[in-house]
Amino acid sequence: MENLEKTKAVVASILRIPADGLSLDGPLGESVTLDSLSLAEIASALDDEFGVRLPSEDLTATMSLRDLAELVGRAPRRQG
Amino acid sequence: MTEQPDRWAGLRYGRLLPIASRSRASGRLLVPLVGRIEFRRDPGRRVTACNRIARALGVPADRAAGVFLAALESEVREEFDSAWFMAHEDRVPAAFAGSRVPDDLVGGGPAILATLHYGSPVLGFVHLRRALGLDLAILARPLDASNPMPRPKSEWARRKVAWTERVTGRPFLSTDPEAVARARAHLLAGGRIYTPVDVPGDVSGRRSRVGLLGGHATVSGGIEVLARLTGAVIQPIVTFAKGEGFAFWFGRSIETRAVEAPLGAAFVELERAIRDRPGEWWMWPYLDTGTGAPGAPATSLA
Repeated sequence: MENLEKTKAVVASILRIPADGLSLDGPLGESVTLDSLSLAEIASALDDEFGVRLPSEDLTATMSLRDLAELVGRAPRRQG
Repeated sequence: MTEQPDRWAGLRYGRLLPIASRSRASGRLLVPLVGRIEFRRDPGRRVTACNRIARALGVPADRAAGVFLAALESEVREEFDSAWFMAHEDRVPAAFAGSRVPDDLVGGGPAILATLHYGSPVLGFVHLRRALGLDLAILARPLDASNPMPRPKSEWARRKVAWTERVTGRPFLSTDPEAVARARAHLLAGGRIYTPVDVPGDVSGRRSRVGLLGGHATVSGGIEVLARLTGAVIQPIVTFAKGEGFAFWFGRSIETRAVEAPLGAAFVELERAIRDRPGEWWMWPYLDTGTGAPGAPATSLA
């Protein structure tokens, strides 16, 4: 649950939108407009926030925030 | 698209290109002919390009016309050369004999190789990836409705992409969010990305105003963002025709974290390549340095 709230806050910050505007279970790309760089920036911010290395091959615009938070939970910890 | 341009595209890509794929000498002989037809075919484009060349380079009208004709020939030569090398792929390394690559590119960390539509960019990528074994992936605009072109040209471009993917073992990364996220991961793993300098084009909130050829242009800031996210250096590069083969030109590499405006610095470097060989850069008709105001639409220049 903590992961989910932090993930939501990070995504809202990157997309510069209020966190309240983000659905937890709908596809990310449906509730907000993602440009080419959005997922890369979200991945980078989540890596920094949680000290992990998200597997980028699993990132898609059809993921929900809940999927993203679960991915963060499974991601390997960053070395160093 | 009107019927007439499609008929010409059908002739250029359906009849002349296959000749060039069988005989390089024939292809080279056809280059000036096709270039001259392109030069005369669209007077509006010719006037626009020549005016921009004259203003940017400070040259008289006849010299500007010569540069534009050379640029059209360069694009034709790229296609005809590519068609030939696609049929003779074992000959690519010999065509780059003597071309030098900086040591820190071969042995260094993550880098974004930023290039232009200039000379022979795809064969350059093929050589860097295949013969030199660089851990290099290519990021480019997709061949879809966002990248309009006549059907015969688009069919040719698809064949070229398929060949490039096969011989390099690397699928093209498109500019959708998922592909750019994969490009980031590739850089974080120490790899290199080869891409036009102003890709991707849809990042409206991340455009940069850069100085270019005596004016300013508003271009996509995508590679700057990608470099900052990964710590990659930006390495300006172009591939130009040299005799019967090709050579690389490398600008000074840009340490993204040490430079205030890395994209602007990349354009400073690439402008040197344009000024050195203005007839190798294909984008003169699209150079609109009047769009440099903040908020203006991005110019596609690479």
